[in-house]
Amino acid sequence: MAEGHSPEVTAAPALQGLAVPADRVGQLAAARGLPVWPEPVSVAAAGPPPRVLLLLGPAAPALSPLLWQPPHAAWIDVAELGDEAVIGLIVSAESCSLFCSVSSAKAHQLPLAYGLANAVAARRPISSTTRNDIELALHEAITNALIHGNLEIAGLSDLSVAALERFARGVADRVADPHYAARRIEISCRIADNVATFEIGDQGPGFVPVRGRDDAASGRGLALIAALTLSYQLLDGGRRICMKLALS
Amino acid sequence: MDYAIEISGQEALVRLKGRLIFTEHSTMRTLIKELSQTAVKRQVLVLEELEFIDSAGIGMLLIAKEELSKGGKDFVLRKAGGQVQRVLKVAQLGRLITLEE
Repeated sequence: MAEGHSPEVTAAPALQGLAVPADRVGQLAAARGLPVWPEPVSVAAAGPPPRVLLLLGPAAPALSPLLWQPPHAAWIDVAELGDEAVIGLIVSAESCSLFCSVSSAKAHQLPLAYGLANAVAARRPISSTTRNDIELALHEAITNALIHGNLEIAGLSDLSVAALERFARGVADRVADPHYAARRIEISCRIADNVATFEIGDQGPGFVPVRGRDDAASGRGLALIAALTLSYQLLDGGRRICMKLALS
Repeated sequence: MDYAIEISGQEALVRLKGRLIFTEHSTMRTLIKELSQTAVKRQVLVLEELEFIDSAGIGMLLIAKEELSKGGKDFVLRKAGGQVQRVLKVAQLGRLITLEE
């Protein structure tokens, strides 16, 4: 747990559902002693809460840009998870500045890095270059977690359209396979002292990075992350990456 | 990502628009096929309207260069700006593909 939490983490959150049955949202909120956040149309009348944790149902539509903005601070794909698992994720979200937990299927659909970078930019006065660096570092880490981690797809084998076709087929086949599609990606962000610390974790078999050729078709993700961050660490056998980015 | 091809003199100018990321593999395959069939030798990807590129996008640009080279074509990137220019610089892509202002 990072020291020096930003003020918004210490404030009590509220729970909101998107394409999640209202009674289920109510039960989950009651289990944690949290209020249920009303429809966005009443936000102006009630006054915004400090933080809203958003539960996403399987049929949730694409998230509008507003849902990545404050007061929203967590995005939890409930997928096929039982209540105990969802409550565990809510507990995790409560201690982070920003938190996201999605299935691989949802990660393939949602612009997670774009949304999370905007969420950081809405909370701290950062330059557009910094915002873009955050998005790219997150995008590379999330793509690694999804493609190489959860879907267990190797990088492009050679510089050919045939290799690109094999890669595309592999991704499509694995995203359609419930065994791989259900694997989760978890992203936590703690903001303190002008540094954002992101952890991105997957449920794949892990890996050990190997330096590839400069002209290879793939394998540049970690080098880009190294260039964009203050530091990064691979943890848990390569299933998790911890990245620190300056907020300036 | 969208693109538009225009033959201008001895060049095929391809204006890319949007984001070149790992999900754009189908678009890139189609683009490479179209460029391999142009009558001109020099293929120029104009990047000034490309908003975002990731490491997979860089890989796809290298594939495009490799495939077009097999057909005797030259492949050039032009007018990268903003985030795209930054990524191309960090990835040192100028060592592998000609970058023009």
